Amino acid sequence: MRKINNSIFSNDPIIIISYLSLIFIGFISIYSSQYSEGISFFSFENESFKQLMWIFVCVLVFFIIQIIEYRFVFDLALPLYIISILLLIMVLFFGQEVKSSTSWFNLFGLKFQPSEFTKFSTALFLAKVFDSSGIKVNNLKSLAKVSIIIIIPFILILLQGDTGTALVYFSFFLVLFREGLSLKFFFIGISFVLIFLMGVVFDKMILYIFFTILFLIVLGISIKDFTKIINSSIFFILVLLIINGQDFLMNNVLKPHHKKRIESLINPNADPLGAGWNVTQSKIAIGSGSFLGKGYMEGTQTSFNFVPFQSTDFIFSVIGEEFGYIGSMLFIILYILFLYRVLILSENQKDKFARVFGYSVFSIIFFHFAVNISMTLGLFPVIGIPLPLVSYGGSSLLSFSLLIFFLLKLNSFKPSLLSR
Amino acid sequence: MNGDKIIIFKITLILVLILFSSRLFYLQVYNLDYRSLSEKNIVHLETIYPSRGIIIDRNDFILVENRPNYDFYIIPRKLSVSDTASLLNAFSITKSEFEELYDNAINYSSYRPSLFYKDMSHIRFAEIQTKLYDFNGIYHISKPTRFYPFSSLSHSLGYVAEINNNEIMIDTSGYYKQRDLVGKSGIEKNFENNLRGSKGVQLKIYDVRGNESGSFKEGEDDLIVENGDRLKLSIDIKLQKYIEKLLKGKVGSVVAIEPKSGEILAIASSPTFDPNMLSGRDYSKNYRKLQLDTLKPIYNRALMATYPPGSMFKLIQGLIGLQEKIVKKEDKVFIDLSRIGDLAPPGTYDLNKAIVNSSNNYFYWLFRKVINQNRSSNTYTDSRIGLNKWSQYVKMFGLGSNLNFEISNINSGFIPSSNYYDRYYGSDRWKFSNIYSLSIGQGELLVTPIQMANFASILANRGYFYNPSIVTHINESKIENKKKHILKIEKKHFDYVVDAMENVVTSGSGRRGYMKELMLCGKTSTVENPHGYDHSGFIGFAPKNNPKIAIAAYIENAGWGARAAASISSLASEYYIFGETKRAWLEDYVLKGDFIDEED
Repeated sequence: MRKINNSIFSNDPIIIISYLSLIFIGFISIYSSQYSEGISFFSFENESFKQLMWIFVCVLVFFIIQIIEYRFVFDLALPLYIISILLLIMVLFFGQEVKSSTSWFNLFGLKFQPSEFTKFSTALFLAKVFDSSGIKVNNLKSLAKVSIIIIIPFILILLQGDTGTALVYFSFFLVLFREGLSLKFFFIGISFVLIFLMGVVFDKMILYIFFTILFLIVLGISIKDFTKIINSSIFFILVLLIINGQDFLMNNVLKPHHKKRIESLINPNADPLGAGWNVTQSKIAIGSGSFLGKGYMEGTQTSFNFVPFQSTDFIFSVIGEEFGYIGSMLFIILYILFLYRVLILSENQKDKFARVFGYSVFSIIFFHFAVNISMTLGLFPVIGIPLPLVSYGGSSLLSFSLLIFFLLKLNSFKPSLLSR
Repeated sequence: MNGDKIIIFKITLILVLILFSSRLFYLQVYNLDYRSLSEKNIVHLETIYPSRGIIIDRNDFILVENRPNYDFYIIPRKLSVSDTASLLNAFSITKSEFEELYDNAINYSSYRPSLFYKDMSHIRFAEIQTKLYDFNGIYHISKPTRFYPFSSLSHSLGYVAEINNNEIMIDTSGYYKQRDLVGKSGIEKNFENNLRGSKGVQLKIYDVRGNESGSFKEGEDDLIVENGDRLKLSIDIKLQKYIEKLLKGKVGSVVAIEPKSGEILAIASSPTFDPNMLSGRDYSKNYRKLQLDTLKPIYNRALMATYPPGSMFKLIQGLIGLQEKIVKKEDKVFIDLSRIGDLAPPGTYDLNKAIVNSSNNYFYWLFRKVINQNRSSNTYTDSRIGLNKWSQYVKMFGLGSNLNFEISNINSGFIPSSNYYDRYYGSDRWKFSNIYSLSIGQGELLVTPIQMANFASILANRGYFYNPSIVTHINESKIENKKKHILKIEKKHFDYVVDAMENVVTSGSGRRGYMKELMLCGKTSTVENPHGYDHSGFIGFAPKNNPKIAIAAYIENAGWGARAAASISSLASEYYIFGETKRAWLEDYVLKGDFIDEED
């Protein structure tokens, strides 16, 4: 094996610079959101100070990862996955309940969220499974095998009551798509989600009539094609099940606050001070930023705490208010550039392990980014997931950093793998 | 080839970029609503309360002014108190009361101020002022509160209190908000629009640290506050206080009017109360106490109480008789005591003697001639014609009328009409023998003290009056809405009756009120009271020529009018005209207030 010079900046400067920029923007935004609280900066009550501590931890972790062996990463995948699943089970029993979810361990005052680390370990294990066994995702047996890896943490996190984080695991299906999963499955999946949402808006009877007519038309067109008739019949039955199950899902699986959030997305003015409050205030914050913004630390929405969770899930509202359209656009472009680099880097990995892992990193961060910003802009129900690297939160910052650091680590071994 | 799928990821990224940039464009650049919505979040509308107009008397003594009271507000989020005991002590509340207030405040909002303690007097405020710096999160607002330096004239001034829901609903102007003060009775109520002024509004912005940082848009949208108008009353507060002193311990009222203008000099109702009781923190407690009092101190007897006028009404009967030429000055009639109970001896009477001796049977005879003038052969019809004529005369004296008085809560009294008796006895079923009690001011007739005073004023003016009024100036401008009411009775008849009134005081039933320099003219009434001791009444004016004061006094359950009412009227007139009273013995007599058991 050739010894390579894997200096930090020779790796992928764009990712590293944009990573550092995002962390910096996150830090100053958290600082701004905390400023009016009147707490001394050097205090563990101050979120921006704690975030700074976590940033130092990340830097430390970065150097540790730089010196560990490539094989070690590979061998770590299964044990890490098992440990994180065990932690997810343990948190159900010993965890601390925060805002109706039991997803936190409280160790001597240090809060720790295993579901954040599970994203990392699942990505690693998925990569290993793809690498070691000849998985063909369009083969139903293989698909089931990899799906289980994703579904187990999904269900455990759902049980914690943290629906938002659980939904993140669906982003792994993007990886499966890259690895050959037919687009058909995606369209079917997306159409089911759309039908579900239509069930919230429209009366059931209207949907029944609409889909029955649609089904009859499809039947009429494909009268001679037996396979098509079978397929569309199965699809039709599933649609009916979804429409029927919608009430059940809304009333039994989703919590009342989720239900309200879905409803308030469809009609935010129905309850602007209740379920719609976060979104209303976030939109006011971002909208009032106008073209140039109110200026750093001049955001009135921010300083008066009008936007709940403004340092975590709604951190983008601080950026939108204080830096305006210009600042928001620069931020969005920076983020997309970052994601684009991660995508390109992942695609360029010749090694399947590295590529699957890279795509996992991309998918997870992309999902968070797209959903979180949509949430703050009032385009998606509030499901409470952070904006990676920017939102306040040690567990989340560390786990996203781990994903990036490992991708960089794998990338830096690319030349040596070529010579393997 | 799976490698081609990256293009779909790239397209997705671009789509997300387009979605976000267009949504941001919509929110931040295109739609301007969000800017004002965020302003709404930080711009605080601050109401500037006008100072309510003050009220002064005819000699510019201040009757009502404003003193600051303090309301305290709590902002739970900012609350930090080092010494809780000192806080509890300052507001004289217990720990559990404080906790309850705090919880209520939190339930309302942690960021916005909630009312914590209401109406602290400025005296108490001065005591605890230095401690307030230690109570972070508790703010005070000074609030002008009514103060009455003379503790007098409570019924006419009225009081102010927080507006109630009903009043807010009725208010069509939308001016009033919860917790606003509004005049509830008397002048405070009837001149509310003058006294209240007009609220101002200031839009203030708060900087990122929550401190006030100047006005919004340089005050462009602010409303300037306008203070309330100053009212000048015709009241002479010294006379008022003197009369209130004389009335102490009695039930009744006294009204004094300046005859040549109709301006009310004093208007007292007893028992009374200190108007300061209904101002400030103890308002509700005191109001309940006053309401439960069986002597009804809140009740404004001067305007609201109605009594039969009694013998003073004989003056009106005499004037009608003269004008109708039923009697002439020189006419003498022999009067026996056959018709009606009488204290006057039988004998030959002219009108003067009848007034001085208050002969009931004379006025029975006179009233009969007024009612039955033989205009119809039918005695019932004749009585109806006579009564209608009579009541027209009586109405000229302002009886049965609210006199268009500024304070709307006033009773008009009652003059029985033909219709009234029709309802009572049936049409054409009544005649003189059913209504003869009217001849001596008894029966169904009801008058109020202010109407009696106005009557005294008519006599003083020898035949005309101006509506009694109490407010003379709004700020500097004089109110000129005086209508002169001239009675259709010749002046010479008044001169005749006034001479008789002079005799009443010099040698008749009003002797106790006689004082040479005063030249008081008057007439006493002793009003039969089926429920207890008779009521004592007096009307009069002084001096006889160019009168300065017309006065009516009505003291419940005080026996003969000659005693309480005449004495009080005489003393009040003396006090007003000479600025002091020399008759200490009479004053003592009145203040002692024991009019019943004494032999006259």
